[in-house]
Amino acid sequence: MNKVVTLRRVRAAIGGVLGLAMMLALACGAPTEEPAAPAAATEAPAAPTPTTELAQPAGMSDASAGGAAPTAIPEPTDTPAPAAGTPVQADLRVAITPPYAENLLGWRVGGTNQGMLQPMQEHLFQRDYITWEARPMLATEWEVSEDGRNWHFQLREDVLFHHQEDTFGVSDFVFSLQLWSHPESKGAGDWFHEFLGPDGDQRSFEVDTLGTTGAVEAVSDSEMIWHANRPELWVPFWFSDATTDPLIYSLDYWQKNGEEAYGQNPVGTGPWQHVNYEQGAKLEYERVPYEHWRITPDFETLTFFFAEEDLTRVAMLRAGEADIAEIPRELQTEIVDAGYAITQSTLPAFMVWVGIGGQYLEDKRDANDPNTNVLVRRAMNHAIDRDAINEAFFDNKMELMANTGWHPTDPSYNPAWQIPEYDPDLSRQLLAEAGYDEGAGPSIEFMSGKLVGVPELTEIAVPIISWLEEVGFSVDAQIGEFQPIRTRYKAREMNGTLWTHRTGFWPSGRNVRVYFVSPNQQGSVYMYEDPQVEDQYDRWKQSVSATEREDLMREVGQFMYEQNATIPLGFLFAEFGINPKVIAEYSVNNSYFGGMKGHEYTRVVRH
Amino acid sequence: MQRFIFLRVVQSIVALLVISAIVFALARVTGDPVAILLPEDASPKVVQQVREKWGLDQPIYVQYARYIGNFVQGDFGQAWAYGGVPITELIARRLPNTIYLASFAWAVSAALALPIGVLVAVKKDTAFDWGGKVVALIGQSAPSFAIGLLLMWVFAVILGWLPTSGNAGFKSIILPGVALGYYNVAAVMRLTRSSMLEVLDTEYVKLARIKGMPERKVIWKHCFRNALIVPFTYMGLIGAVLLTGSVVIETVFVWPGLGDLAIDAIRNRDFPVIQAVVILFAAFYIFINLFVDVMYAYLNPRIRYN
Repeated sequence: MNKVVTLRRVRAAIGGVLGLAMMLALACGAPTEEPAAPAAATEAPAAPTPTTELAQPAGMSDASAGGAAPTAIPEPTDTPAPAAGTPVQADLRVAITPPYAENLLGWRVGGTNQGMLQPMQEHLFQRDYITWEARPMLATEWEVSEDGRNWHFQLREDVLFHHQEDTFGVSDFVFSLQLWSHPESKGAGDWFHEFLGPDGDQRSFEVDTLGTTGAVEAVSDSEMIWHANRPELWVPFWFSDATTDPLIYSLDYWQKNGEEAYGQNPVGTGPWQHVNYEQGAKLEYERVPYEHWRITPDFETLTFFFAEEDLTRVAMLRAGEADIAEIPRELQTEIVDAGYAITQSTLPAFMVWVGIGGQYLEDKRDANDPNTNVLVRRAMNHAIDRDAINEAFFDNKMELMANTGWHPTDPSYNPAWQIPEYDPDLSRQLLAEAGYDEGAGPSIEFMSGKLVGVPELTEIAVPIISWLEEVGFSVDAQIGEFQPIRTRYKAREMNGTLWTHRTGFWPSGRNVRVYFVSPNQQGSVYMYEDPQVEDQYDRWKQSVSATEREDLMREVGQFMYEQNATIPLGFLFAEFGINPKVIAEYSVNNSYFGGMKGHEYTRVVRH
Repeated sequence: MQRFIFLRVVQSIVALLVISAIVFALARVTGDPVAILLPEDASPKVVQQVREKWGLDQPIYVQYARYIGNFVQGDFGQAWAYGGVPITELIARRLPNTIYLASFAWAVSAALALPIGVLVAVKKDTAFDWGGKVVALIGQSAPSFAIGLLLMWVFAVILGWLPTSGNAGFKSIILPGVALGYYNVAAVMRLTRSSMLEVLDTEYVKLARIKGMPERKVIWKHCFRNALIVPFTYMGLIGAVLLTGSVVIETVFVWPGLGDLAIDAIRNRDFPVIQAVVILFAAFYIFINLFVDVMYAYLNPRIRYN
């Protein structure tokens, strides 16, 4: 009897193990087609959000930035009308790749790493993500002097910080400015110092008492005047939610609780307040318990899950554990086939291009570098089949680019600019004109590395290299990580080198400031330098005339276009997978923060 | 004996120092961390400031000497990418999760491998034997991340029984634990099998059967207990392997342990964190090896160590 029982048990165990093996085998060959419905979404109507057409936003001009108008009192952003019906669920769950640097002390990590704080933070200005117009956020009215140096602001009153013991005021702005420019801050502190800082080489505003600085005159707690070191018409852009640094922190909370409390439980003025943060795993927010001045989010809670692995995020979406997920392009078809939707950003999120290194000012320029020859650069541009890249790697979703840094909606864009045509014969002819015999073209180095958002960078490098070789270039290819590339271009050591690159989507003026001027003009990435551009940029920076600035930026663009300064490829949009049984509306307004922003506007399905 | 222990401890310290030097050098070969740590448009002034703050402007031997000096005082330094959080704090937060996962994976290995090992020994050269070997072989030959993704797909996406990822209660550990533990099933199973076969062939087992003792009792009471010695010795050693081998599984299953921290650190060129985690993992190995050596010497005086 005992033997029989033992055998039965053993057989049952074996059966279980073999059953597991069979399930695994079946799973390999036959994944389910239907999405696993989240528990709370059973009665939700299936209303997939279609993949949107490529957006064609109006560009940002000085006028829309608010700078050109002597007095600007724009209308606040419309608050969406409350929706009828019962939400299918209270929680909004978003699966994304982890931020590079996880830390709730935003100023210590700087840049886009502050994405984690975006749901709970607000800025002086809000951008309209279709028109890029400046709209009031924590600043309600603003005015700039004729010389562009003095900015007068009226701040929104009675805006509570999340600890509910203080409201936003001038001292909070100044305190935030002090944090952004703190010596240990990794943000754009130098820029703030250059624009508003005290005289001298001191970067920090800490010379003043916390919450005060000579550069900012507090007329009252809700009214301030900035006395800038130089004209700056793009204040409503640099201090808006479109950029990375200027988050507003509470001086009162800091004084009562210290920096450590900010690291554990930060406060802001946004419609979401911080609940819990588990490093490397998740970040939780909840709707503020009072009526927020701007908007009441549709969802009660907001949770970000940090999942590095693409397939994990896909599984989370399909298992109903996430409602929105960052899905790599190659897996999007599978998601759509399974009944989910892909939603696209209202504006492009990335600019994809190939840098042509070695175009430096005299101190770093090598006259023997083939990249310094405009004929060679033209040959490079005509050697590449952009349509083929778009079709093969981006499913034709990339909007081809004629001139790196200028989107057609940018006011200084010139419609006469053409996308360089794929013409290998012309390339060979140009190389011959440049003095290279057929089949004995210039020797160049080509580097490529993966970057978040556009992992295809290394893949597109392969055909580009082969097209260049086809017309006669001799290419030393280095495909691997991006970091060595960044190290070299930051050191201005890219002579004779090309590299695939992706940058964020910005107005042309910002692109020129960051990428296309030398250290002499406080550039910081040095991908192209020329005395003419330096001069025009300097005039643009000092100008207080919107028309003149637009013309100057167009001239810079024209010069770079004629010089074939780069190899432009295209603009890409941010895309996310969504569960249409839960999400009625999700507008990806800016991918630069990796899907962590704007969820107060995400609408839930109701029934 | 004391001299032996002393020498082994000294060897372990030397090994740790060598490992720390290798990790320190290799991490720096991967490139300049400031390029990753700072926003792309960070100004040269900020870049210089960060270099000075983290000592990256110093010669590499000075950096190493400083690092070791702090390390022996129990100071792992600060995590660059996390805005200066003390690394001991990061490790203290993550280590319990890794230990929990490794322990669970160890239990999974034992729970699967031991019964299957016994079964295939008892049913030698039958379909059970072959089936058991195949199941074990899959575990050993398939990469753990592939097994993990497969398990995730079946049990989370298709069946919806378990969560895909995260660390929210007991259910969350099942998939990563099985994926991590499954790899060792083959080795333990084969050791159990051969050990069982050896015991099954002994005189006292034959005697027990002749006396009419129930087969279940013969196998589980008399054979299994005696056959356990070898697989259990091995399972003691794989504890360290599981602890340090969780890097990929933790990433796939968003398990907030040391492995996940190591991957983040590598991605961010956070040298102090990379060094701390690798040295910690190496220390686990060295300590367990040291412990085993000492125990051998203590328990078996016939073993001579020169």
